[in-house]
Amino acid sequence: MIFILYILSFIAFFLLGKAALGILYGKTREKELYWEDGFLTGGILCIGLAEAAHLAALFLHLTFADCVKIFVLLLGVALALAAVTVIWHAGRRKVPEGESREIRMGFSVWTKGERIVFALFFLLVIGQMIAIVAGRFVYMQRDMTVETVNSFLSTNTVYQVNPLTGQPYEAGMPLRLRILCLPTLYGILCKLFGLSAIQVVWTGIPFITLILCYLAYSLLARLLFADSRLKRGCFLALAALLFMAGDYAYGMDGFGLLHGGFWGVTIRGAVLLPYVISLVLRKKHKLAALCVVAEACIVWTLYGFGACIFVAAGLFVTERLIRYIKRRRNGKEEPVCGNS
Amino acid sequence: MWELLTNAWKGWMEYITGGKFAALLIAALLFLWIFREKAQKQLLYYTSLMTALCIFPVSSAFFMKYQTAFYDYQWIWSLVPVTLTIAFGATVFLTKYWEGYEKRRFNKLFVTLFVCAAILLCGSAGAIGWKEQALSEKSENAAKVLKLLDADKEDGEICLWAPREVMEYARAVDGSVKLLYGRNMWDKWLNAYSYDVYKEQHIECYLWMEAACESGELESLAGQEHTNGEKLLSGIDCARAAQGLGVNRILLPENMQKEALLQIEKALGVQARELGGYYLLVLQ
Repeated sequence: MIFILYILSFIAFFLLGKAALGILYGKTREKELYWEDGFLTGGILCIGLAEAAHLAALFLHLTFADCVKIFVLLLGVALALAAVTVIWHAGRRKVPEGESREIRMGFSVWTKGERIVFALFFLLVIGQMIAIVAGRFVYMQRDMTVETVNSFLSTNTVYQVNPLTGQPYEAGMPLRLRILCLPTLYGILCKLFGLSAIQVVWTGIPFITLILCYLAYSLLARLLFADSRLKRGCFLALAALLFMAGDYAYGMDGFGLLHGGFWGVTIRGAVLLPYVISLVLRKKHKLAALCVVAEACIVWTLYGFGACIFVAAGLFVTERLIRYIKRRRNGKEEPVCGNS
Repeated sequence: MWELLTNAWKGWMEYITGGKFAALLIAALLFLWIFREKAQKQLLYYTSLMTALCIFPVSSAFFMKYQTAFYDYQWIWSLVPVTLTIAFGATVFLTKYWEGYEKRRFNKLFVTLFVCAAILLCGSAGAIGWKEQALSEKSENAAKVLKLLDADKEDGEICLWAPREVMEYARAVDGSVKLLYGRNMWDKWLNAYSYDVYKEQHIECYLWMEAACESGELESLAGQEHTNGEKLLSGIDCARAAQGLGVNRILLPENMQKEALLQIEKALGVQARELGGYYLLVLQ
């Protein structure tokens, strides 16, 4: 069942993401938008749908079964709309005459060096996937996601009992934590696919996070090394190595990715932040705004502000400053960022 | 304010103690500044500035406030693209070297291995970041005991008081089991998720069970750091208190002394039996 979960998740991500890109960027979507954007945007939209279902259950005091129904309904409608949008855009897209599929997709003959670095990258990623699926290296301290999911499933309610004891709350829990949707999303997946909380939380979600993380890094590789596939492969292989070596302390990117892929902070650090950086550098501000909202749904931020908005604003201000300084020096404006 | 600044500085010192990714980041930034290319200026300037601000105690204290007190110092480094910058710097370094030594394969291989070794040695060199028994083994043991308990269940629900190794994973493997106290009794970070606090009876039960797992004795002395003053904890009192708090299953450790076990059985009016390496007491 877990493999069906992976396959269906990525199909849903791709459909939703492709449609969202079509709606947000219309005809210009071909410019500096890649297939990775589709998956990542779809993942972010799924978080949004889960948040809607979660808030409905939380504030309308619905049962968890109702929450699952709301999510399925929202996802069904979103997927239907996405399918229509994708088909409509596919019909409108014009391929320039004489342009082959290879040129459009950026395919060319692979050199020996490129094959080696990409083989190394995939070997490292497969090693990480095996470690995650084995489920032996999950860091349980400071987190109670799996207990929270189990409490939703066993009581058929959302945050009515203390997840750590199963006893009813006496004083309750902070609202700013209750509004976060990840336990609900994981619980919904348990219900839909008939999996246990341990299977979904400790192995299923970290595997998906790992793939989304490398998709975000792949976009950064495209941006930083637009001219060379060898450099892109080298960058990805080194990033994979850094994740493996960097799992020495709680709070490091690699630690979260390999030992706590289901934490909100890991999804933020490994998926949303690299993606936000790539989006701001490509000037895709609408998608960057989606990442900011997604972060607020999964991580306790300072009342809606978080790391994504900080990084996006920081990069934006840096770009403006560089432009300003250049203009002062040269007396004219020059483009300074990315490949734009 | 002074405390916040001290915490920020201590956080930085801890951050650089475990591994040397901060050093790698600074080396990568230095390299990128020397060989910087026009296209990546924005990222380079931002990362350099944020790295300096995350090290400097006053600005890092501000970031700690910004991210809420729920998170520790290390999380402010989320604002710095550490992995991205190191990978970027190392890629530029390696590919520049490869281009310069097109025909000399041995040199290329040697430098590549050197960079990979430097990364591994600055990190955990492939070893996992903390030393613990394999998680699945622990949770499987807990699941085994809970399965036996579940088979034993006649009707109604189970409210369990047991040694830590069972309690720790009980709610992870089976959401229907209730516990006398949860993981937040020993994992203090989890207290941030709830306004609820434990009563003194809960704490005493926990302390007695911890001591019983070690010594197997009926009575143990709780230190001042846990209770109001030094206190002699009795297994009988704790078992009665647990019963009063709604517990209907008690698991005692295998190393429990026979005499101590007999006294608890007598006090509660039940007969203990062996179950998966523990003594089970079923209360009414």
